[in-house]
Amino acid sequence: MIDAVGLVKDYGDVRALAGLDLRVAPGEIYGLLGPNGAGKTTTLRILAALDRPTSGRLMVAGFDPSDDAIEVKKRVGYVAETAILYESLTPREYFEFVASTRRLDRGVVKRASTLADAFDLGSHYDVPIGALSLGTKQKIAIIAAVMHSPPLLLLDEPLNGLDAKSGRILKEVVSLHARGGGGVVFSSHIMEVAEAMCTRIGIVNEGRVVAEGTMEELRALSGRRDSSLEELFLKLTEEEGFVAETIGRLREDASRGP
Amino acid sequence: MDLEEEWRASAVAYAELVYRPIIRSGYTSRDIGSIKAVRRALTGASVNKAIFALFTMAGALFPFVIYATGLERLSLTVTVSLSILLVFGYVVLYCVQVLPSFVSSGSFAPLSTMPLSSLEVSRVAGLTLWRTLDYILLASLISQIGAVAFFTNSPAGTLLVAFASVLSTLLAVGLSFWLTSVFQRRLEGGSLTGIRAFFRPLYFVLWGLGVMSAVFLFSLISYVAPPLQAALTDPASPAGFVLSLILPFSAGIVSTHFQGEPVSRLSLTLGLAGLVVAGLATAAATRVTLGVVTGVVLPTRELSSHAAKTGLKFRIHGPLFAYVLKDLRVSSRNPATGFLFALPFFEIIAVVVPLTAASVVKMSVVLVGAQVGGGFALFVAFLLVTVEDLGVERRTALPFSDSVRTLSKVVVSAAAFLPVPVALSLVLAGKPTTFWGSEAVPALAAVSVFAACVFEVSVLKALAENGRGMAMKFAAGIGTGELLLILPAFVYAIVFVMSRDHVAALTALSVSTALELAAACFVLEPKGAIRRRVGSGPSERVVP
Ligand SMILES: Nc1ncnc2c1ncn2[C@@H]1O[C@H](COP(=O)(O)OP(=O)(O)OP(=O)(O)O)[C@@H](O)[C@H]1O
Ligand SMILES: [Mg+2]
Repeated sequence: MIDAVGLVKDYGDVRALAGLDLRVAPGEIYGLLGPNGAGKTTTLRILAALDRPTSGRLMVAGFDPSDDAIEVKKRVGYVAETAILYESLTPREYFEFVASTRRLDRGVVKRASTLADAFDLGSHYDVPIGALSLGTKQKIAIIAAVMHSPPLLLLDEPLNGLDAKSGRILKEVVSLHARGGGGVVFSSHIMEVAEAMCTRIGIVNEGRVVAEGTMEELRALSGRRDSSLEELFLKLTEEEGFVAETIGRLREDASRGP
Repeated sequence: MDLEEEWRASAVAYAELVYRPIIRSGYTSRDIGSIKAVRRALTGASVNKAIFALFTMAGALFPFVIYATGLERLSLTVTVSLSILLVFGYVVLYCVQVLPSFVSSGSFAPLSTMPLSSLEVSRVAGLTLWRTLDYILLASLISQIGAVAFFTNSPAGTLLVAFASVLSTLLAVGLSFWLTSVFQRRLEGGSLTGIRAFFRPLYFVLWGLGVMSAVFLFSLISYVAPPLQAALTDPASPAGFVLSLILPFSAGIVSTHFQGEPVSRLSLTLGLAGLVVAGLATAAATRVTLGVVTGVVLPTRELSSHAAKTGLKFRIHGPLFAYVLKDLRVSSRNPATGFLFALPFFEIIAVVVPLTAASVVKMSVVLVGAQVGGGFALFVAFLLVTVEDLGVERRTALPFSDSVRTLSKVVVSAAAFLPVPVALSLVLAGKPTTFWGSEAVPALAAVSVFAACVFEVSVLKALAENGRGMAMKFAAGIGTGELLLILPAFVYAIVFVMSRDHVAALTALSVSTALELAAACFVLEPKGAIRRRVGSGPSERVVP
């Protein structure tokens, strides 16, 4: 589904991606983990054909996003870091717009409506999106991203703002999608979620995948059998020592009192 | 906080106002992450303000130039009135463009979390507002005061007109501010209907006034001036009585008096009373403005109680139709573009009034009429693209091609122009013309407007990719469009001058219009795949 080799992305002097490799097969749920500014959002934007890589080879769902952005966008459901919506449209109008521009058939109304009920959106259909809460906007973005049943889901911190119930539903949607043969890439900062859901995890640091594999493989890589993903993550991003030191200093400050 | 601190805080808030839309636009081709980008944005904003200040100055001085050169027979009363009116329109036009980002919640969010009193916060917001409008207000004031001082040679008269001019700009700012916030709060409050929707038409009229002064008061001055003059010299007539009491005209009367020309006692009394009324109105407007500013900074989120649960049903249209529908909805709810829907009305006035005045319609009048209407369409296209700059289109992962995005804007703009050819045809049908071929001009003009809009939107998009500022986009985009708009008329004129043959000239006009259309189609879709994309073809959904 995804085949990326040596992706580089420069923003002016900033190198956001420095040779990132990524391969995702159908039926896989791939978790992108990494510290802030590691390049997760940049990667997902490039996969969704919203940005072009400065260099590198890339195929998404059988197309090169640089040449066939539209073909890629047809096959991808993308949920951005912060929901990208027309704030002056109502959710109903927005769904109508998305379904129409994607040329979907009438069946989509049923599908969207099932999801909307699951997310408990019922009383918000005719309120301008700008007036809705963070989590409600996120739900709308998610429904809009999956309503065309794309083969590939790209989710950038999709649990952002969702309450526990909705988070549970989203996880179900994602694993059903993978079981049906679709591919999923999502970024997250919540280790437990990644640990519980992903079939494979990639740890990104400074624009590169520094470690990759199933939970077991990652554990083996770090040489510690019982460690949690969080510990692994800190070790692999070489922030273990920094965190220990910082925590020590914070505790010292706290013991001195306010 | 003392005043100096507040002034510095307002600089931060102002930079935020300028930079935020650029960040939000999601144009990532340039490095927007460095501090240089903020400075670039600030410079761009200053250039914008300066260009608009120049326009405003031109508007303020234009009637005086006409007055001095005697191109039209204007009295000083009408001259001063029109100058103030034009500036009022310009200020409204500018405010309506920039204030939405001022009013949208979030612009002052960092400030509202600080432990500041509401008075301090609104003073900072007031100073920020001043930073947004400074060049424009200064330019208009200085040019008007200068002109009046020059022509009346009377310190008292100058002072009074300066007073009136300040009042008028304050009113313009207050009015646009209030209406913009009404518009915005309706959206953020979660309701698209309700009592506030009532004010929307008022808002459109205000907008119309702005565009009127920007686009065609210049060309209409010869129609506006004589009846205005007649009314103002006869204060006993109902129209004269009411007009003399209204701000720009009362200022005109007062300045004429101080110039030393005879003004009837009644006129002068009414004029002075008018200034007093305007002063009171401005005081009220300023209070409302400050209230709105405070409300913006310290928002009390008043969500309308959400409706009962409903089922999710929606229709599915063809992509282009859905796109146009979206553009219409978004623009009708945006304070900067809502005016679009009142446009046909203003267009018809602008185009038809000159035509009905003539007993025999000359070809040149028809051509000029079509040009004026086309100018409106270009303006609409500009606004539609500017609103889109907020960036949803660029950042969304929906699979629409560039040509659909362009075409949708063009369709809406061209549709806003359609009343013009229709009205022109109706007038032409009922009047003798110098050349039978003028009946064909409206339809040809519509084609030319379509092509011009395609080019304009394409230029605007290309400039936006490069993160260019609004003034630059305005000049280049509208300039390109105007060029295409004028070209056929220009070809007509050349051929006619050379051959003295209307038929040959009309043929040349048709050919150049057809060429423009072909070029536009090429720009839209170089590979000629336009029909495939636009028509509602078979569903291309992909099943995993
Ligand atoms: N438009 C831009 N201009 C300049 N630099 C950018 C731009 N977009 C991203 N960057 C930089 O690229 C790097 C990677 O950013 P990215 O958003 O991909 O990180 P991330 O892994 O998603 O972080 P987070 O966990 O905070 O969401 C960062 O250093 C960021 O500052
Ligand atoms: Mg991110």
